[in-house]
Amino acid sequence: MRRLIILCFLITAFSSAQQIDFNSPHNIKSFANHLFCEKDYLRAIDEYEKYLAFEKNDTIKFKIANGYFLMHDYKNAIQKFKNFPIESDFYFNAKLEILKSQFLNNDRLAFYKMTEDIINSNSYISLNALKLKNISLLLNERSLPSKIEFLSPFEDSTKVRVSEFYDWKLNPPYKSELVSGILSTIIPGAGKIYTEEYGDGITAFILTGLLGYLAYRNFENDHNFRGWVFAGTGALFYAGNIYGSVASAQIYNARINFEFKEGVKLFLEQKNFFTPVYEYCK
Amino acid sequence: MIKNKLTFFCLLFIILFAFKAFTQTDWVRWDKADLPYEIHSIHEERDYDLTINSPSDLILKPLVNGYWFFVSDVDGANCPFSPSCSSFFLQASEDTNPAQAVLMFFDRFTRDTNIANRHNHYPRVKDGRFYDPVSDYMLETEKINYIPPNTYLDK
Repeated sequence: MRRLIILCFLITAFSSAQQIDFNSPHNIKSFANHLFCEKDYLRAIDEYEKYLAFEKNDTIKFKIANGYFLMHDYKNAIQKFKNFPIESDFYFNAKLEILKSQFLNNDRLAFYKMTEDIINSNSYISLNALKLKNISLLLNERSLPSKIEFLSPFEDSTKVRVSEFYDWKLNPPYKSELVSGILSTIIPGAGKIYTEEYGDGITAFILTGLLGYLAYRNFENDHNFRGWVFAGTGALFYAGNIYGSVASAQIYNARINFEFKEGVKLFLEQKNFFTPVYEYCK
Repeated sequence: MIKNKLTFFCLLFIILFAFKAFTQTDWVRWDKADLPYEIHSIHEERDYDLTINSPSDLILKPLVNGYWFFVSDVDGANCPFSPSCSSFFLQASEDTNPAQAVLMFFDRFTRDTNIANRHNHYPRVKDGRFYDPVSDYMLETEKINYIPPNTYLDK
């Protein structure tokens, strides 16, 4: 009986122990898909290239190019996306991805040339290219078109936000350095309060006021040397406060620029740069 | 049988006792640890530089180096900013001119005196100090590199 059980076990064990062909195209592709979903794009690309040796597949080629993009290797991504012929189903999607890669790679000349080509081609991606081009104008020093022309490619749901960006670009809420300096000249610290540096403004006011008062009291009591020391120090703090107010207005304006650019970049990321979202790993 | 059991229990007792005997570690009396309590000061790497590159260095560098040697290095690294106020002054005089450097210094001193809400205004460097470079206060907008507050910088 025991021998019979052992024999049955051995027979079932050997029959189940089939060789798995890890190098079959199907398994290579499955492994590559798994790596891609695990965000191991470099190895996924290697496996996809192996797969392409067996079978030409535009989806796989697109995924390879996308893999380079997701690794922020924009140069290689652009090169791979350019390999799609016009007959391919992915031709227009690839063009959009090239545009996105050129934008992120700060290749402005190539970016604007390509947007013009796509817009003039009147294809179904022309609107996406126009949207991306218009938003990109907010991030550099090129002149903006009229508001109606700028907002025309956007849907109503995004027009409000884009309109805010447009208005901000034309009339940024800067603080005037001159006003800041004059306010601090009249009342020490007022210029800093104007530039929303409330703590620094109050400190400047107290310091200057205190030193001025100490100078006055010392002169009143004929302590001239001390009076001049406090007066001199107070004068230096007063001058420093005026200088600092002008500088704080400049820093405030730099902050406005920074927040604007970050806001536009965040908006673009939320919209995926007006390109389709590809969900490979459902 | 009884003899074997007795032998076994004797051996067990000896082994257990041996473990206990050799777990004793306090053969040496504990002594007071000699710990250095000084806070590591960045000023140990202080660059005491008295080279005169301009007429203003004749007054400024001895003044600042003297302050470092007699006051700051004795008192410790107390400035909450990086660079410290004295270093800020020296760097400002090198990057601009002495008059502008004096104004920048007094403005910096005012901001140093304000202890409220600094963490909402300045980024931080690795050692926790607030990053406040000279380049932001030279009145040249292209040199201002705005970094949001609460950002930690490597350098």
